[in-house]
Amino acid sequence: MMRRTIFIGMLVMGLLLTGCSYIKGGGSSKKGGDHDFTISFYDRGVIPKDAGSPEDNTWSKWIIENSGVKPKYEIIPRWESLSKFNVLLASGDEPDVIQEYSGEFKEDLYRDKQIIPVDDMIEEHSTFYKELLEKYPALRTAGTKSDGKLYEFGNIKEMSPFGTLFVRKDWLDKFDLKVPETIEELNHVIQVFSEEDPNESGEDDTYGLAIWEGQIIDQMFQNVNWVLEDGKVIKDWDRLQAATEFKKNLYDNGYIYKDFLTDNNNEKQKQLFLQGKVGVVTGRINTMADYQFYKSFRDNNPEAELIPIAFPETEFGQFSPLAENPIQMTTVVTSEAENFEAIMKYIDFMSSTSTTKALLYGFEDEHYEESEDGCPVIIDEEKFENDVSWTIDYQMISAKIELGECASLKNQLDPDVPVQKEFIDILEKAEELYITPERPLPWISHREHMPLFPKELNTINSSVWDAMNEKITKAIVSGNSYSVEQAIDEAKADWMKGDGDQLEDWMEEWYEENKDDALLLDDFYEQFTN
Amino acid sequence: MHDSTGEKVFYAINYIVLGVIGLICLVPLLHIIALSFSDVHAVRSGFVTIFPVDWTIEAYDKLLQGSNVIRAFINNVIITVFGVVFSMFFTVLAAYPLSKKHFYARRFFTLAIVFTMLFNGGIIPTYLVVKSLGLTNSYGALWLPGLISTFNMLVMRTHFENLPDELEESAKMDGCGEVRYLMSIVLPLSMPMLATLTLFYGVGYWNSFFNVLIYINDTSLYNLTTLVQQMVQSQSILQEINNAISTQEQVELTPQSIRSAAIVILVAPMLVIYPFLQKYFVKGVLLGAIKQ
Repeated sequence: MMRRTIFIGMLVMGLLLTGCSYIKGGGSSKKGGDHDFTISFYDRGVIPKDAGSPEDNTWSKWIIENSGVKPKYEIIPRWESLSKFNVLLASGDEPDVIQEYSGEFKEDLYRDKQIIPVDDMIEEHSTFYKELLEKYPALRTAGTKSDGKLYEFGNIKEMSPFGTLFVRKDWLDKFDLKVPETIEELNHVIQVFSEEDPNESGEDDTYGLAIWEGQIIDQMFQNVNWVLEDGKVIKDWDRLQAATEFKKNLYDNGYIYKDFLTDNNNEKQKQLFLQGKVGVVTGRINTMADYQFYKSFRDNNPEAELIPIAFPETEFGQFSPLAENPIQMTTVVTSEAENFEAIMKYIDFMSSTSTTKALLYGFEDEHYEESEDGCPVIIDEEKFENDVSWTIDYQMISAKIELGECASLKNQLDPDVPVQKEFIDILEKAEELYITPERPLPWISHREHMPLFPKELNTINSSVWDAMNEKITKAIVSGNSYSVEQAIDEAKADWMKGDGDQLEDWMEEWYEENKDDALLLDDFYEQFTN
Repeated sequence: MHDSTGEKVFYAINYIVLGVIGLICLVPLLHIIALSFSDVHAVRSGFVTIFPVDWTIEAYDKLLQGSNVIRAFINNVIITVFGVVFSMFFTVLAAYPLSKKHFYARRFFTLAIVFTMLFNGGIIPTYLVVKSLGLTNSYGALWLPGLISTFNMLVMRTHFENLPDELEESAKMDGCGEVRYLMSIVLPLSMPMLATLTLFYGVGYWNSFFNVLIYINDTSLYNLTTLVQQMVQSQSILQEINNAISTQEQVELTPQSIRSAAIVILVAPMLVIYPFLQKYFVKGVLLGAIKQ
């Protein structure tokens, strides 16, 4: 009896002491240690185990070897980045350089004076990035804050298509329809696809339209909240009404999947499309994964033909879906940073053409070889997949534009493979249809460059937005009992009640003051298209 | 005593209805398990319901090869096992004296401890405290701040109080010391309650996500819950509207088959352990509820 007690006692003590060994006095080594500065880095779980860990892997080693500086990467979980950053900032543990996509977050950092202007740093220590700023003035404009100083570094690439309006040409041909060019024609095509059993299954299982990605229907109607009319920026209601009526029509007649408003990540609609049950689909064509999705569709539906079409003309004009943001601000320097020379050297290195090429394609003769038209061609798919395909988070300040067409998705595909050739054709057609000032983007600037409200107005913005959305959703799903006009009237009343007019005043003022300096839509078409 | 026919019918209907509802609750889990064992193409096209289509263990293969699942799993086990040992050890040491009526400042200490149940410093102050103790980036940050759950401790204390005083008196008469009494008599008698509290702590530590997220910086120390959360996390429309995501990265979602495999690995241990501790759990829920 006694021995058993002692035995259990020892066991517990042993476990306690072993456990204590896991309680190291960790803490963060911000200063000290053998690094030049600290920089944040996303962990999104894509780095293969054999390559290493987010803080120390084949590419981070390559960077340290070749850049001449030694950064220490502070790992931030990608989908909880804002909470982690906030905790680090509050406790003074933030890295010297922060890389984050959220524009609002960086704006808050600027307002709370937690980041510093970088003009001096660039002037004194920069080589390559300084040249980029001269060559692409938009890079400076986009990173400048309201006090006129430059705060943000970013990446710069060609403006390529992202959102796409697809139609099944084989179904159009089956019913002798031509590509719809107006909203009425589009509605007619959707109705035919929904009701006349194009997949010949004998059942009423097809849908006219499905949403694979994003708010493309809204972009079609220019339903983007703030539009330019008579030289002033106003809050729009007419386009909201048109877009909502379109969606309501789809819902009431069963032309779209019933639960499309709550379809998480559009999973169900994507599956319906892959199963060949959808005629018009709003999709995307921006990365290899999109190609894989297209390939799945073709594997399931070998006789199908999918083509991109231009947005139909509406009473408000003819527009194009969201395109890639050619200038993306990502990087800021925090107020505690000291080693400016090293930081600038790192940024020069990471944005340089040779680094960008390596991050996109790997190493010559190992992963790719040069071809006659000047662009790299992947020679070993699997090796590329294991070694290079996951470098996206290192590309946050890559100047892909210097690589021209070679940096585009088109170049990663092989025209000798029929399915890939089809996708290349789609990409080229989309470029022709969507990247032109004749059918411009619906916003007053690129969506990611729209001005950000100051903190006080942000709360107003989210609450009126929620109230408006509620009414709109209700209008879509309530059939005859609640019309779109009613919803718009009530939404307008909510808007007034919730001080939405303050937002309108701020926007108007912003436009008046900044229309000559800020990056607006024309600048994008001028500087980033050929 | 025999049930009348009416009662028999009632019980039968009861069992059937509850049984069906219980099985329906299982369906989402079966769906995820089926997804994890199905071919990628079938998963993407939505052909999978509750049985695997084109059986394959490719998802698990990819998961084990391509990511740190094994290490994260081991981390999870470490965090849970040691966490539970620490917590139970100290909870017993806290509850036992508080259960003795002759303990000097008993009321004061009890009130002080209960007070902590009502107020919480918030994320940032707690983080600052943990940081000042030098515990960031180590498991100490997960174990020490929440070492004793006040609720659990009170349950334990009530249970100890309910043991008959005579037991202690007779043990004392035979010359039993305090520690020996605790270990040889009180604890063995309290097994159901201890098992239940172990389970509570265990599940809590197994599922710890937010704490790992903010305190741990080294990815080699991440636990499985955080790893799975990274994979499963889906971007909300609001994020897209607020431009918090770049168009290029919107696609880096892990394929659904791999996500499902990761979820299965995460959930499996708990599913396996629960039935064994089931009998204690049922008894344990009522503990601390009845005072003699």
